[in-house]
Amino acid sequence: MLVNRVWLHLFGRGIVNSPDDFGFMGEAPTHPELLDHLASRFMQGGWSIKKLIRAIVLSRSYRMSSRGDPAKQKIDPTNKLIWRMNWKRLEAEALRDAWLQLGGQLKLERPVGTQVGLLGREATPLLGVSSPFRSIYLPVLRNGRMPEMLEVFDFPDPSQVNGKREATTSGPQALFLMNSTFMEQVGAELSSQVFRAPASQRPHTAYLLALNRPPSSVEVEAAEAWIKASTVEPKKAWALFVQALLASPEFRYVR
Amino acid sequence: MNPLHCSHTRLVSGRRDFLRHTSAGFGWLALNAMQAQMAAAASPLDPKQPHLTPKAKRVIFFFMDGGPSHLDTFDHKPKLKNSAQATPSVFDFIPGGKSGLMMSSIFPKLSQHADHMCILNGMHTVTASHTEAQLALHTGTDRGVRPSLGAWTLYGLGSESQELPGFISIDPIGGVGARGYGNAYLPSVYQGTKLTSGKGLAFIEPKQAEAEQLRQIDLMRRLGHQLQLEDPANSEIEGVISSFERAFAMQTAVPAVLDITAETAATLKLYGDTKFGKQCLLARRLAEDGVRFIQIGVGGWDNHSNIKSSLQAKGAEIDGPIAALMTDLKDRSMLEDTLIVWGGEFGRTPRSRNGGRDHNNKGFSMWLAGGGVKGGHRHGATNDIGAEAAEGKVSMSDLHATILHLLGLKIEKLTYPFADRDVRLRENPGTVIEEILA
Repeated sequence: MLVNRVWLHLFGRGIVNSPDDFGFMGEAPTHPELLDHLASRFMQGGWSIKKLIRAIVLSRSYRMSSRGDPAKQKIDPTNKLIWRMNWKRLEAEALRDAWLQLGGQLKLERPVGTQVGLLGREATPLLGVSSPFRSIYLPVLRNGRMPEMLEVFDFPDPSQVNGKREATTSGPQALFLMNSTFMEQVGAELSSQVFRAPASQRPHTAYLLALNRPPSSVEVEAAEAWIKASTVEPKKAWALFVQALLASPEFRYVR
Repeated sequence: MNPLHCSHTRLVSGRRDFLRHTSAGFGWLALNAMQAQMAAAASPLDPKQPHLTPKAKRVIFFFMDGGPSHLDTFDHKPKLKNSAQATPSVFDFIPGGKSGLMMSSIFPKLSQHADHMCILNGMHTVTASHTEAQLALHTGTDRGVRPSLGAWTLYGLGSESQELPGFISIDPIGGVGARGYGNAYLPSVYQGTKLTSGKGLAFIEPKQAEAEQLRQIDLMRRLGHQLQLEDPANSEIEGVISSFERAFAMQTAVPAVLDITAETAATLKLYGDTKFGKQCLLARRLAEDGVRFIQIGVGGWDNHSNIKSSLQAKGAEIDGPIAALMTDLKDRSMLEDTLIVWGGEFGRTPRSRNGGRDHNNKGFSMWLAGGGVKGGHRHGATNDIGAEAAEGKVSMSDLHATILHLLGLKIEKLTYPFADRDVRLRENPGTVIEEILA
């Protein structure tokens, strides 16, 4: 079970793709011998998760490119046989941390003390999504409602065991990305960084900051045209531009 | 070749593919113009021609999470005696309408609509475990990730509404989670949208002018198309982009559909001021606005103990609002083309323990009403003690085949090309229950 979960996190798909359900009610393993091998190796290695992860990430399979290939796609569209790396969606916490980091707000240290307080007799989280701490430090109350942001990005029900999250692509996610104060602030912060660069360097800076790659010459041209055609003042236009980059599929998937 | 397989349902069709592969070389304006054309040409959500003449245009599916006790709701067993195998219901049953269809006295108002209802007493399903049985109910299979019935419906028929999502799950519930309205391997545009009845949708208020938002979406579309070159068969990119297009339209459509100020006092009173009443009213408003598949989750049916008080309360909760919805739909001449489906993932045991009953997948009841089903009709039966389906047996696949048939879709023809073959909702497509068709 554990080896399979580690594999699932690294590959985006488990050897047994129903991680909470092995056996008759679950899905059959795609590579049963590999799962057995990794499990015995894990035990022999003193149950070290670090060693297990190292063994997997050093494999040829893990290091494959995520590029598509129509011929292979036809034979194995869901990549059960691992002919390439899967595209992996950033989950709620990773998205939030990445956006906070880009907005220059992320605090890496732990908050001090418990972050759950009492409101009357109700347990209440004292840290919300807009706090600067990493998502892993946000309190999760089993009986409480999750913040909208985490909920729309498929945060699992905390009262249930869940080895594999849902992966939905929904209108409500898009609404968060377009209309939330959170995204507006991240966009504004990045836009001031972009705006500090000389005008000719702005497209370059925006792409590097948001997508960690330089734009192509076509993209530079298009970005300049985009800003020029905007009805709002340039700094605000850059904020909207960057916000769109942060919401794009390119940002939301690890390839 | 199935007519549904026309090229626009595939994300990688010739024309779009051509555009994708060449778009990097075009100027901004030229590209813009072409994209406008593309958008106008075909959307995978455009209404499609069904296989048969449809009897129902839309579905309202009431999902009763937990497995309602059939012997205390819709399976009338007047001769049942207390024995080691069975315990009679604590509730009386009452006849309704001209047909005299019997149902539990916890549904006095619903009973007045008996002449529109078709009770299925011979339901059975594969497992007595909640999550798996819920999966079977929603997706046709009890394991793995398969498209939900609503996603298939949307895939088969397209959406009548361009502004609202064609498949909406109001307050989804149960262990089935998002798989209950998921698209699985179907393109993600067919995924259901979750709507919370109390507060609608968060972040629905736009912060920018429409024009600026559209420009943002356009920018994302360009980025997405470029990304698509890396993985032409990936439908998630298109899913992300179209989620923005849908969100944009939803900004006006959702607040409008949630705004009940235009409803008359009489209508509001009819539905009642409860959560479920509001869900039912919302369902009618969504149905009116062209939403194809509407799902409403109601919890609290896993009655292992104390059926007497808990089911009495469940009855009080849902009886009035469902009856109100049926009255309202009838008044608007919509009941004839709206299919109402009511039921849970399984039923409960004949023998009572602690005043409750345990899980039973071998025999239980569901009911349908409206769009193309016989009213005042009862189909199938469980054996003497209500332990298992004995006559007119209906499996989840049969139910799905029937629902799709009423919508004008043949389940064996409703396929999606995936993994080099045409995949169906279920390997064994199930049989349409001819006896209940009006």
